[in-house]
Amino acid sequence: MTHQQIEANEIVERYVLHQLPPEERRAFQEHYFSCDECFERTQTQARFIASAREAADSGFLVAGQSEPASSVFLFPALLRAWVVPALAAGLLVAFALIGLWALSLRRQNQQLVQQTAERSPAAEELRRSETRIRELEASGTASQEQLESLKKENSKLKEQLQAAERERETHVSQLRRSDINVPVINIFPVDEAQRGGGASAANRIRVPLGTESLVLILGDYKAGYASYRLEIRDASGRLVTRHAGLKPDQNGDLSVMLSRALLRQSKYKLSLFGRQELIAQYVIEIE
Amino acid sequence: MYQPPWLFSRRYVHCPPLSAALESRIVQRTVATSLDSEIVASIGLGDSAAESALYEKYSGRIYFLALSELHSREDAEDVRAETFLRALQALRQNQLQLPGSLGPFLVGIALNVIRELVRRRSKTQTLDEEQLDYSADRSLESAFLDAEASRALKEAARELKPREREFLRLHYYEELPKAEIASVLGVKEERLRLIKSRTLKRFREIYQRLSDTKRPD
Repeated sequence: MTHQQIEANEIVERYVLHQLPPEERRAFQEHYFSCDECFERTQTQARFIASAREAADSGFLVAGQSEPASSVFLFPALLRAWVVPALAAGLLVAFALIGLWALSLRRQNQQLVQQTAERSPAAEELRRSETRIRELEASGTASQEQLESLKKENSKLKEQLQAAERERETHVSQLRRSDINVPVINIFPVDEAQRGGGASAANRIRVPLGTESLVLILGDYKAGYASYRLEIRDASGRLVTRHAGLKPDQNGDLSVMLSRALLRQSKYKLSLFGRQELIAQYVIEIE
Repeated sequence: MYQPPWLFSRRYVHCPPLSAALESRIVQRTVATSLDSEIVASIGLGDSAAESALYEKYSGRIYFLALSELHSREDAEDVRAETFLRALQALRQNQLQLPGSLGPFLVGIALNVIRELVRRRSKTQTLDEEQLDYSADRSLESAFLDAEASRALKEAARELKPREREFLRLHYYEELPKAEIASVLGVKEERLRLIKSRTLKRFREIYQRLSDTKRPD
């Protein structure tokens, strides 16, 4: 194992993260036993990753977060020394952020207008039709028949638009409405489900009509990780959705709320990871 | 700290035309190999100072190897002690055929000790041991985190742009694939590698400074 290979293949980081295959792992261990430089680098990398995880866990690495709030109160002298420049910098940043926010809102608005026009050809058609009627009436060149037919077309388009608007309002009111009677379902890992439910390893889930979302509580997972990641794949192995940052609640339960629209009547495999390690697999069958 | 006399018998030729870095690397390697052979030979002859030298040179590495495998400081201590016990027994009886391969020899013993430790504790024997991640039920943080590292990371991260901090979080905490992080942050994958190496370099400098300050002398 050469230093060039170690550098190019990110061997040091992969070693610390247990991502090397066994032969490479052993080869690297033998290497750093005789190489001071690599031994030092590996120790540093391990400390770096451990502290990065700890910092992320305490919310320090969230974009925009500069320092945990508690440390300010622990060091009042430091606070006094830094308060003026910090306030000034904070104000500057706030102004800059407001400017950026305004810009992004304007851009979003433009995009929305464009999207609305794209998604609603009827509105565009109606606008054109009205312009044409006005032009023809003003020029006086159109026959009465032509004008009548255009007006008929115009009223048809108006009806289409009103129907689209009603549909949109229904959608919005559905979104505003609280989701009630959400089914909360305990599911168990493959081997547990087999033991408890006989032959089938799948957790069968009967979703009542009209259900828009459901909550799954993941049972019997291996505790001890700061956060977990869940991947849901359909029967063909296609990724349906992925949720990172799952944390146990005060009872130690992991839960996830899923939109019913994501899950058809079919089987799905849910894989739960703690760091890189697969720690539990669940199979659900939506009936 | 005791240093046996033969530790200073460095048998290498100084070559002025070589660059300083290359020279130091060659010197280091030559010294390491020659010292290993001498340590092995001296232990075989019953030299207890050579046993101390063996411990001096490899105890940190064995501890680190065990800590990387098990993520437990107590277990790593046990593995270090047991590994030295077995290594010394073998070396006293001249069982190491190639004295230059002392490093791989110690790695082998340490990994055996670790496997035995895990096997004793494991309830199930059905898993493929070669694939087994012994550290799975303990976090990396519990093994490698100390106050200086935590402070060094925060100081280094303060110098980063918000997007770069977000990268560290997504990479090391959320463990998202690099392609996905690049797409979320709107940067190229090569740029991510650059951010990582720059932050690591800064972390190393700060950690070194903090550790030097902490040392009493």
